[in-house]
Amino acid sequence: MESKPGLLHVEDLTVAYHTGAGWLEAVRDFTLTIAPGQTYGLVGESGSGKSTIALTIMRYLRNGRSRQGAVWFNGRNLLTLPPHDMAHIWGKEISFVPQDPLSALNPSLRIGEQIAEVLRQHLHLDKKSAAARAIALLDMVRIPDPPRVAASYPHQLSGGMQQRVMIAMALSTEPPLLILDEPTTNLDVTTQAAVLDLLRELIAARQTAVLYVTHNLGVVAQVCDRVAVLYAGELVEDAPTHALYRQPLHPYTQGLLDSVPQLGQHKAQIQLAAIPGQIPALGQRPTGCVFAPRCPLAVEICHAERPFLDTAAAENGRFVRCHRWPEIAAGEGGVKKEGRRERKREEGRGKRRREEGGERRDCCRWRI
Amino acid sequence: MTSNGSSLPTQLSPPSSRRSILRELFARPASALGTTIFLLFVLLAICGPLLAPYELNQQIYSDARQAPSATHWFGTDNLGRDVFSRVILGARDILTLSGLGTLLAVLSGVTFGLISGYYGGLLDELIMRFFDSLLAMPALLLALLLLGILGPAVSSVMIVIVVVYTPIVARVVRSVVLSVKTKAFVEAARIQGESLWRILFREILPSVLPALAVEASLRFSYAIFLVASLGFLGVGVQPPSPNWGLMVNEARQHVSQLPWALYFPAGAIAIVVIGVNLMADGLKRVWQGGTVGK
Repeated sequence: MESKPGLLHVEDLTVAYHTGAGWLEAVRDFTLTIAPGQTYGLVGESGSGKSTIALTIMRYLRNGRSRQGAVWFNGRNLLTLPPHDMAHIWGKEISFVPQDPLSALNPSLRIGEQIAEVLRQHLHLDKKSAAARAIALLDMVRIPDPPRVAASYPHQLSGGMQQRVMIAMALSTEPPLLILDEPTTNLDVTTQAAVLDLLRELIAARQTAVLYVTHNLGVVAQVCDRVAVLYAGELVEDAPTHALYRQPLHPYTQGLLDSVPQLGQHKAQIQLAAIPGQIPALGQRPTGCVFAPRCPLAVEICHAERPFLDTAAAENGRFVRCHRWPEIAAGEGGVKKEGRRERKREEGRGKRRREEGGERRDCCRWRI
Repeated sequence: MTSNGSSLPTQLSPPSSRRSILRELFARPASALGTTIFLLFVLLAICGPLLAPYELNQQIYSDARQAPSATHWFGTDNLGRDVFSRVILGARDILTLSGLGTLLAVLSGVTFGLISGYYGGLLDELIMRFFDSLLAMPALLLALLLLGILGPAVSSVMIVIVVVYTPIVARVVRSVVLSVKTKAFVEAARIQGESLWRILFREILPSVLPALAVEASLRFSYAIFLVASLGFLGVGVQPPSPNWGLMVNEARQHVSQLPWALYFPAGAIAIVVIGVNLMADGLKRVWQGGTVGK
């Protein structure tokens, strides 16, 4: 077998859940490569299989089974690793930050003790130095008055604080890979922004690779180098963040971007373009492209034949699973829609703003 | 948000601190009474020899068979022993024996309960069905059976307490473990790579503690009762030890002439058992009141 690229390489992963109706494939032929220090966004609607992928990588999937493919991490296939070895990877080499920090924190242990537990387990620190280190970690995630917070119980902290504690815990062992499962979903917008800023700073300083699972395109634009867009368990587009936002090649990605309200827009100026229809049930996937029934650009071949993941631009690694992407890229044949044109106009405005305020402002447009 | 106020007092009193539990216990008359009784008997157990006016087995033949008086507060028995001194000195005997027995029963019950609840499956079935079969027998019958095998000795009584109460403690612990082990924080601990030992004793055990404290104090009161009963039946602690149950047994033959020799040790048993029971009930209320573990 050839050497596996990157830190994490998910290869042709298919994950199925067992239900009353038999095995249903929640994720199909999923491929992803994360380089060391790279931040990857995994975007999709609810039920698109993004959490399933995150949990499969962690090998912590309940009642689901990976039926095909491999998850290569540092040259080892995590899916075939004995459970004992997996326990050494958990928390030490791959850390996981769950969506709801309050339920992930032990209600009957003080914050300091909980962080110290992880340190003692993985770094084999003694009780005293683990406690001191826990306070230093709380300081690192910019929690005010760390000694006092260390002596508090989880329910005494705000949601933002709790999530900072989770991040402190996840980074305490300096893992090469961090998986975040919608870590800011339950937070209000300002807290979310603060946590994201912190996160970006921490992972940049440590060169930690990140897989950021979210349904929020704005968050992805803010944090991630690359984005993988998931639809009904299939990878539909995989591209560098700025390229994807500038020119989405898959109609689903286009639809997603069009359905995001943008800052500085009046509601009279644009109508949010919702994607008609809904995500297909796992048991009733169309024979052709999974997105074809909802796709405004679908033609005959789309319904008949399943597209493969095509390389759209080799130099920066753009992949798209669509029959018509070359036309979309060229902007031919009526593939532009009303909403798209509207968005283009916005982008022109964004360009002007970018010239004024630098690269980051452009991304911030997408923040909800 | 309690986090950004550095003006707040730095001393946070956590809900489960020992101090606040005591305060809560004394907030209710019944549990305050129970706790006072218990602490009083503990005090007796500790400094009994200082308080008792006579030696444990000191026989004053001239004073034998005396009713309660200024010299012998609780009277004397047929052998001329001071009942008051024996009751006081008996506190240490019965409290250490039942206390130590309960402690061991709690330790083994916690271990079995944690393992059984966390692993589940066949192991759980085996452990719990075995415990069920132990529980199917009346406690006293089981105790007599075991003492018949082991022979009457202090260590045998201890083993009896452990065997009789381990299944009950294990059941309580297991039931809490079952509800806690599926919680996200246990999964989070696993996914952080914590070892089994840490997950069982550091993550899960703290959630078990409230229920365990209540159960342990209840078991303790029953253990006192059991030790006294076994003493009364003559199969546990042997004479001349100042076991209250044993004293009741000895005084039984002379109850018509020397009722005080029976009443006082019997009363001591009743009072300490009621006291510990009230305290256990108070503990239960403290935790059910929602001060801990929201």
